Amino acid sequence: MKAVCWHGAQDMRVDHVADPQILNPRDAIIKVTSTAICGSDLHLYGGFMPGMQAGDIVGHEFMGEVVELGSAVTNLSIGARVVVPFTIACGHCFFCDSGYHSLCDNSNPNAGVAEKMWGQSPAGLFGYTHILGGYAGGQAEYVRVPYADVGPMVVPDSVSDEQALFLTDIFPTGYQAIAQCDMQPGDTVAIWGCGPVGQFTIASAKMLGAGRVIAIDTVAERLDMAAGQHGAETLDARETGNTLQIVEALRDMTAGRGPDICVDAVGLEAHGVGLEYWYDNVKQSLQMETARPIVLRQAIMACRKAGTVSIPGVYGGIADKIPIGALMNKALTIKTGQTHVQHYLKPLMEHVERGDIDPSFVITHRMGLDEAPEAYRMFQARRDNCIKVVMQP
Amino acid sequence: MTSHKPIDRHNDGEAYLDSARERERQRALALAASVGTLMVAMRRGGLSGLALGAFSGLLAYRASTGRGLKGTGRAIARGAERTLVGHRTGPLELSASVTARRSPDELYAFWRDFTRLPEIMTLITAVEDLPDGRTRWQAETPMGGVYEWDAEVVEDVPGERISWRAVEEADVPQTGEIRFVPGPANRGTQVELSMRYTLPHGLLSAAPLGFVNALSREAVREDLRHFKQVMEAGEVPTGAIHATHHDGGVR
Repeated sequence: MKAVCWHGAQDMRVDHVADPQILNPRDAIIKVTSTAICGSDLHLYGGFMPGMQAGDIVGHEFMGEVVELGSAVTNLSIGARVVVPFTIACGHCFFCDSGYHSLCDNSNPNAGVAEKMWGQSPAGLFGYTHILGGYAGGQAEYVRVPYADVGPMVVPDSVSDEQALFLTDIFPTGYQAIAQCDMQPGDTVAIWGCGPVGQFTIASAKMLGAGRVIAIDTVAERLDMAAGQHGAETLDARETGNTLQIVEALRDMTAGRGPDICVDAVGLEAHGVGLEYWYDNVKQSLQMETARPIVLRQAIMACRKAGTVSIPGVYGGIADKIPIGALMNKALTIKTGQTHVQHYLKPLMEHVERGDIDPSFVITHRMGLDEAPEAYRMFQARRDNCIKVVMQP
Repeated sequence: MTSHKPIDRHNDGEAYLDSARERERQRALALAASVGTLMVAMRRGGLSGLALGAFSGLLAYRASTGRGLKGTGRAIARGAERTLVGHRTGPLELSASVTARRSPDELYAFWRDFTRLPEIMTLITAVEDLPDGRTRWQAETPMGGVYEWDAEVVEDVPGERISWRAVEEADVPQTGEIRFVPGPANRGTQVELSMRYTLPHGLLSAAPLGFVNALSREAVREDLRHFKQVMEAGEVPTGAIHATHHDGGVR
């Protein structure tokens, strides 16, 4: 089959590889009909994520048709059209049972390595680092899906591929970023990053009753989408200036109070201006820190006293100069984690079915799987106003 | 394994003081030699200067720790061994624990069967029941060596613990014990696995058998993790894509 394979930094190729097989009783094989490139795939593409190996099949946003089932999967039938959560979860451990599917105890075959890095291992992920299992991903013609009896969800006929696809990751990720914050009606939410996850965070904040949403980014088209699609107020970080100036701007916009909820939807490759950006850039290049936590610092500094900082943006290792004094003295709460997709799949699918939201608004490009290397280049450079690429194998 | 005879400070006070004085004298000598060598090294420069500088550093280390080079080498070896097996000398005792969301009785029942252990133990390829109540274990090392031994149950308390031992003539004499303890607040059962390997010459005797990696805390923990995975999720996960694909783990 054809699959998009990682061969190193800035090197994605479409390779011909062996088809996947059923290896465990709870497996299914899915024939992919639609797959997307995620912002976190760019961390792999940029070479910022440790634990990748040449030839790894990438992609964790995919949906398709069931073509083969393991002996223990009885709730799906051949031919069913399903979306597949990017977090691989067994459905039976303490964490799955508590709704924390991205923290599944059992799905990471390389849990021992993750324990050395992080103390405990979260769930395995499709198409990502071997630290999280090295599972072959969904930017391919076929995928082996473990625990298929609890992960994939059948898509109603009334919902198109493009409307259902983002239930695999970015819609629930944006939704969780708000849902985990105990938001009160009328709260002001500031969201750094207006990429796909940021857009769904903005949409979810509005859906869940935020009073004001302030969207922060450096790319004009993305700010336009935030304002146009969801009526967010916008702050162009590049025009506003450095961290202190952004914090001040947010203080001014909220009459001194600060946003009640601050969301870092950027993660480890944040951009900034001036000395701070160069400091992090040099340290990251020298591998003295694995992240440029510029947005995280801004979110902590800007957040209202006793407010919540929510981090859906991806981090892998170590970050520097976190303003722990602000965090402590302002009594902030941090909420973060990979997304518990299985937990949100059903209610969010109902939102889509009812027409509360049409997730396809975020798509800017439709391409074939063969064009993946070009799609990665374009998405990384934010060329041609690229926000979201959907590929059809 | 090396055996050290410690000096008994109470019964052999004079000898202890003598040896302490001797050590101090050697450290002073080493410090003087280090400074001298460093001065020569700095004046010379170049490659030979670099080598002399390195030698000076070793002497300085000797002076600061009071350890000879031989002692230093031994300390490194001991450190490596401790890292590898979590134990200093004598029989290797490796233990790990995990919390599994099943009752002690269910967990006990799986383990007591023994013949299902190859599903969860990385090196064990087969366990079969023998007519006399013993079990025959077969292991295959990463280097392809196949070993067999018979084991007998030593203690068997249903729902609580099982211990077993390899009977005489085993290549790797060993005993094992697994305990099932109800965890706090109904959050599952704490499973503790302890393995004890008696190796006549420590890890060296395991090396030719290709067992060294298996004789680590990590390996015991990994087998226990597989046990939890089978009991909770029904299977051991794999990142492989097809049957002949072997995930290389994390490099």
